[in-house]
Amino acid sequence: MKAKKFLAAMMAAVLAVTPVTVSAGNVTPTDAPGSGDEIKIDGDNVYVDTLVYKVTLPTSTGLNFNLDPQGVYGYFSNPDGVTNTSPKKEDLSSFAGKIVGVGAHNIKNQSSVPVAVTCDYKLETDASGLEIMTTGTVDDSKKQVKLNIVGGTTDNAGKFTAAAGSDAYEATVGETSSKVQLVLGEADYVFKEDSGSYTYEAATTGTTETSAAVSISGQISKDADWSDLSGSSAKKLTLSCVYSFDGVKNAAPTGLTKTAEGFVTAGADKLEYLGNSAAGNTLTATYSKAQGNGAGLPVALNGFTVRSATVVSRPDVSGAVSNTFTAGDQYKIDGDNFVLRGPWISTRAVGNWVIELSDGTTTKTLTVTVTA
Amino acid sequence: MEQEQSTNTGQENNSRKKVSPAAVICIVLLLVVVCLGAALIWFLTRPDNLDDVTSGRGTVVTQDNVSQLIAEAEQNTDAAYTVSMNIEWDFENGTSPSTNAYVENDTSNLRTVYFNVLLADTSELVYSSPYIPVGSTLTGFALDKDLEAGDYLAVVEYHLVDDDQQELSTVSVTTTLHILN
Repeated sequence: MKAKKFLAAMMAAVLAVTPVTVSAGNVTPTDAPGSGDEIKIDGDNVYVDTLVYKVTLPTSTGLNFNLDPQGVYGYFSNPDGVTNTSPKKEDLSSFAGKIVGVGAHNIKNQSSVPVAVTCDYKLETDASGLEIMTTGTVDDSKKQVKLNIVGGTTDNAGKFTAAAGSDAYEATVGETSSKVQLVLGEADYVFKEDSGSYTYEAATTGTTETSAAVSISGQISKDADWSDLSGSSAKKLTLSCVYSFDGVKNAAPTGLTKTAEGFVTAGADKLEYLGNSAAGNTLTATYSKAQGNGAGLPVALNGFTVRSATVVSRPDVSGAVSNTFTAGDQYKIDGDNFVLRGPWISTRAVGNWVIELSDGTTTKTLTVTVTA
Repeated sequence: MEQEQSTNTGQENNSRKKVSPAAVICIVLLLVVVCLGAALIWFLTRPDNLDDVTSGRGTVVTQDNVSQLIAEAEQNTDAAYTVSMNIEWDFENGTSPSTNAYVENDTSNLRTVYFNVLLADTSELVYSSPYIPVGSTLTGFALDKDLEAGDYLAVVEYHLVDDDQQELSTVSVTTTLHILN
């Protein structure tokens, strides 16, 4: 491959100088992007579709991120300004232990049709002893990272704002495929006649693009030795992404599964999860002891098969726990619902209960907030 | 004594072997081949800097590099690329040019690009395009590998390059290759 690229580079250098193969004149305006399978103009002329997607995407450079164990980057890049040019450790503490993306990036759809953009992320490392987390919280005494992709919007100044809602707009990236999907509405296109032929071009007024933003965030262990990721022979922690496009019709787009928020329809702009996204395995529920009155708490499984359930965190015990459930005692399966039984949930301590549900291969993390 | 010295010198001259022109040529050619071979080996075995640009990378922040990293974040160059392409490419057979593939380097972009087409399941390279300047379009190209009839999920890996054709950044989009016969 390297030899071929060496030769290709030499040949390409020649082609770049003599652009015979590639030039703006290779394509006539009538080959420009269209939409739909066929478009009839005045009942006579037919413009045959060559559906072309035009989407702005983050490059690999756009996926760069900073690991800030001490909080130095977060403190000095704080958009609210720096109050102390020689900060002490306590000044940095709120910024320490974080992953910060190098800017947020808009994914823009300038196509004439709505587009579902699937982003397939992967986080990899060749550093020894570095654990890539997809669930739970980072332990500062170990060497762990947990990287998230967050959906939202950016203003004209590029300031990123996470989308309203909680977990639905954040995906944790693991070492295998972690997919998120944005559905972006179409841009306005107009037909233009030129000497008897027609072109279908992007409008210069109205909706010229529809965009959503993605940003990188996360946590790293504050007290770990990160020196092996620095220097000339540094080990790597890399984030890659492969994008896919699907035209969105009024029915559910291919690959989208029904979520708690329902199907995404054409024209909606939001971040959704696909079945194999690590953050699609994050479930939340709230139980009010006052309102529950001993009734159980159902949680939709969306086709997931629970083979085991274990409490890993509870508000009345400090630190990690491992309390294994028994089907029929603490919970039951009712159709497509995981139901925490009334006698159990109604007597739990107020606070967050974290329960790991496993089908033997995949683990979903259910956080139940019990209120008084 | 002088005669003996001249005689000895003459014997020394006769003892030196004369190198024929053909031998000289062979030696020179051999040296050239060795040098070219060494250069080729060096080129093929050096670290491929492609690995540095095909994915985003985490950088550990210290007090020494924090100012540089903040400045780089504000510049944020080559962080986005506008893809303009269709995603279903038809080929009559494995050696014919595509009848409908369309790839454009949109006028909103700032960099020349080329793209590689790799099969999604094996990462095998089946096509490498020439450079596509901003505002230009590539159509009617044939694959570099004669694929058998069938449908292939592939990854189109765009490479952004600078004016010296140095690799800057990449972005990858899936497409489907339809080899009809």
